[in-house]
Amino acid sequence: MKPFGDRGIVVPRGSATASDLHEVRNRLPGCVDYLLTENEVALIFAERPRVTLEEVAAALRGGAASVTPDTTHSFQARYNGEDLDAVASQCGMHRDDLVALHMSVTYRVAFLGFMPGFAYLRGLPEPLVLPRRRTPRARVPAMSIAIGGPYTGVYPFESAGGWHLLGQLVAPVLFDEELGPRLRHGDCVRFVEAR
Amino acid sequence: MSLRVRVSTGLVTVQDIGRSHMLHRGVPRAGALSPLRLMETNRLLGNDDNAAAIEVVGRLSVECMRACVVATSDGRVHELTPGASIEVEPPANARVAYVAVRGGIEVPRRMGSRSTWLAANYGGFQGRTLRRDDVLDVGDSTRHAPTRASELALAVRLLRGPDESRFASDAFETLLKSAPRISASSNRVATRLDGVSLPYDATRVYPSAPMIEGAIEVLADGTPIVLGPEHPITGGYPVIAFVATESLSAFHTIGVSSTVSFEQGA
Repeated sequence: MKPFGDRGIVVPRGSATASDLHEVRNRLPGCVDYLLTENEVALIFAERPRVTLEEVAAALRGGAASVTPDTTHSFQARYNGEDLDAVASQCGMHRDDLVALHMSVTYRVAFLGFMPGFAYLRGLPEPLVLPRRRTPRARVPAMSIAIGGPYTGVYPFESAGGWHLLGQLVAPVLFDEELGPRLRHGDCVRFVEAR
Repeated sequence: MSLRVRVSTGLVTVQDIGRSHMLHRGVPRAGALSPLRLMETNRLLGNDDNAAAIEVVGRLSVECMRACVVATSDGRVHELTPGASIEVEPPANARVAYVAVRGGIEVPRRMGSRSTWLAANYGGFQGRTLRRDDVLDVGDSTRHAPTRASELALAVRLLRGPDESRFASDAFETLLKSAPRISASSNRVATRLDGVSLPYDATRVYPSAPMIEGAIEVLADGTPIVLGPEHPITGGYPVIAFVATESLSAFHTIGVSSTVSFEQGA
């Protein structure tokens, strides 16, 4: 457990689930917010945190299993990305098989970050795990579906980016004009090829 | 009652204090650069602390369609007759000015706040900076007695960051003593510090780490940047220090090319 500024602490993420984290603000006195990355949880407090490692571990260990069903989003996609052929070639497969493989998985939101509305989606099949592009692009089109390392994701807005572009969502569904970011921790995502 | 924008240059946006405690949704505060300065400007008029106002990093000229009372963050209150206008820009050595109107600016609340998240085109006035001929609605009542503004303490307190070991052993002290200047390339996402360099081996790639407002990330070329209200919530650069929460409002008022004086925080 390490301090994180004057209102935060950082702990290893361990096996804390999305619903454990959702509850941590109720279980830990003074905890008002949290942030996740692949390996860590940052807990944010209203004032200088005064919790022990034991209290934090207990709060993250979870209580009763969550009874709310997972939210699964189904995104219509066109697989016409600039890197589709290059990735297929690099992975030693036909582009149709690459597309089928990418669509075959129910991905789960591992963590949020990088840019507004962006979620790192866990579950990318092993044959598609590639290092990021050697030269990032200055401009990735909005709604681009991409892969990088062990993750897949969608760029909600135009951005610089170093992942491999496989296609685009048909509609801008990741960031709602009123409700904000659509994807939350623990949500599931499937891609469906648009006709 | 409305205000009409006559001139707007630079980053002029509707802001309130912002969206608190939404990092778990991937949403940074994205509110006023200097929440305390915004609040004080509101208090001059008897507005709620969190009434929406206009944040001016640049220049603004705005006209009242009917008689109205506005306050500016230099502590002045202006009673405007119908059709009268007021010009606002940050004073010398200051980075930002606020213009509040009695009753507050009325734009729809998004995720509970009227502030503008420019990087997401979200909230505030149509998710963007203000332009000539924009018309802003104004609320019609206040509930408090007006109070005078107070001075913001200008010392910027620094706390050690989690990645000190990636730098030279005295890197934090170097930053503390450095007296850097606010770069003109600063914005609501981050403030760049000129005149100090904290080198480290940037070739190794580390996993993304959590980021909060006030975290001081160091870019590959050794330039420190202080994350601001629209910060991304994860980042890949090492964090050498944090600006203490209590110092953030003051830090964000320091003008471009002005010098920052750091002190050690508790």
